[in-house]
Amino acid sequence: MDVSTASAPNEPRLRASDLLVWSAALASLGVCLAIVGHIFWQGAAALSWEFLAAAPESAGRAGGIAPILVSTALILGVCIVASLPVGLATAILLAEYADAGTIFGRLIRRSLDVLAAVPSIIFGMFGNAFFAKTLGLGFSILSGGLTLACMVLPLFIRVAEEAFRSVPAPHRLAVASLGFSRASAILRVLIPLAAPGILAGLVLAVGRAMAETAALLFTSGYSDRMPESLFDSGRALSIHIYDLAMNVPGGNANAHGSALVLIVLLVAINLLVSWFLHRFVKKGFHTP
Amino acid sequence: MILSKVQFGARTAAHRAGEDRRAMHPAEIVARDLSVRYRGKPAFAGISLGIPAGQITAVIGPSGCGKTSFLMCLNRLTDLVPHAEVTGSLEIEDLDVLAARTNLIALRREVGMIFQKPNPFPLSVRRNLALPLREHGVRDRKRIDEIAEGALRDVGLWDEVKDRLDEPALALSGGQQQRLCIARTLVLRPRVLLLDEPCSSLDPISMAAVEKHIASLRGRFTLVIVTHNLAQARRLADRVAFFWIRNGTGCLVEQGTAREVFEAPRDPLTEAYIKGLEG
Repeated sequence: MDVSTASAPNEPRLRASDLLVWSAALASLGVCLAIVGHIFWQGAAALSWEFLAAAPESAGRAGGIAPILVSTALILGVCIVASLPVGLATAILLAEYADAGTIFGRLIRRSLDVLAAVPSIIFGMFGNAFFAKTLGLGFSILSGGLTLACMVLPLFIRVAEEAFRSVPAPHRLAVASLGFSRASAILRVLIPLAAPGILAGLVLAVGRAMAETAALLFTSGYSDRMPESLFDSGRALSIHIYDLAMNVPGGNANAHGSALVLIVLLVAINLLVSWFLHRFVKKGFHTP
Repeated sequence: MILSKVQFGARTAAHRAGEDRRAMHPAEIVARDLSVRYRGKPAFAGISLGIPAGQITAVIGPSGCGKTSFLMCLNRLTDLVPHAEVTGSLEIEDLDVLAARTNLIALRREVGMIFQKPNPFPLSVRRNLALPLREHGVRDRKRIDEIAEGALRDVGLWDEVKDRLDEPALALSGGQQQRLCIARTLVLRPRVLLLDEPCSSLDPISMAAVEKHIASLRGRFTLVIVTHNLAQARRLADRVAFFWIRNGTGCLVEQGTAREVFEAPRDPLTEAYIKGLEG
């Protein structure tokens, strides 16, 4: 009895280790709040409907970011359209066909790890050399989107593969014992069951693509005009922020405004997807 | 458009004819000198066992004696286990199960399997039953609903779920989920039903319900049930096969009618096991 009261949890005694853990946690929270707070503080003034709807003027110092938003959306669209099928197919191959031990499986995994470790500026140079020059796509939204696709593929594949692997074994047994062919087991059961994880991977990939600057510098280019096709050069939000902050004297206010838009978009996408997943998982993937 | 409708109709009719033909004929199973090795290590060896059509055969024995592996041979789920090797001969009616050319999809449609833990898909009750039907070519919604209702009635679930067909299957109780899994197999009109300890994860009341409906399938299907519950084997089985482990390998000690095995076992091992002295 004495022993238990001596170490009672409600005894107010602050240990050094508690202090360390708490201050570390508060510090990281503080860094996050400081950055977001600063951007809100500085950026809110620039934000208005006109800012979102107007074209930039005077190299972005004045005016808005409408064409930049459109270019960003197009670049992300190209990135998703290119990486989704390739990434999904590779994830299925790795999770369902190639045994973890086979040379082929190991080779693919290892090369994905290497790809994931490549700095984004290298992807930018590769995109410039391959998509812009060799394939002749020039500085264009297409070049930028495809470069981003190469960059986010390893991340997306890893997460999607994990999603396939985490489909519980009893479901696999059920599907096999009901006489499903391998293809329809994958199409009708495994992909739907893995869908939340696949979607999470896609959001991570989009988030990374959206925040990317270096890979787009040499591929989608700087043009801040409204793009007319995927072959036009288009400036992504992150490039716009970079340009305003670094190259345009007096561009700071709009740089902060653009940064605020970028952060709000990222948060919104994450919230939207988690809401969607919640609904999805709760109701099952079947709603016809 | 018209052509596709004609083909669609023909397909459904053919399917229906196939269903009715098979539904009348539970299949007989004959295993001769059947053995399974995993990475060279035998799980069970030299099992010769006849399983008569339309009866309930219980496979009993201690853990690790190869009962589940034996069941998995019958629908070739052993193919999913890397480095599993099955030897001997195994026939279901005139079908050579172990032949390389055997169509696994057709085999598994004829030989359904129920697992220890209920494993309905995280879908609605209705979709759980529709999915295997669609996979096997039944597209007509009305027809799917009819077959689903029949299967749910067979397992006594219809009155319990008829108003919640579009609710998630995972919201059902454990016993209901297991009966749904049986129904999900029954929609394909299999000739053989393999049950791997189907009640081991259920409470006694759910178990009684599942057991009752398994018993009601006697005659229409050939049922092979693996169970650790000797009382359940006594209640359900027409025939009993007793497996044991010798030198780390499963083997068949005794088989016969339930009365023979439970009341006049020939082998002292069997006698000890059913009296609860060993295992």
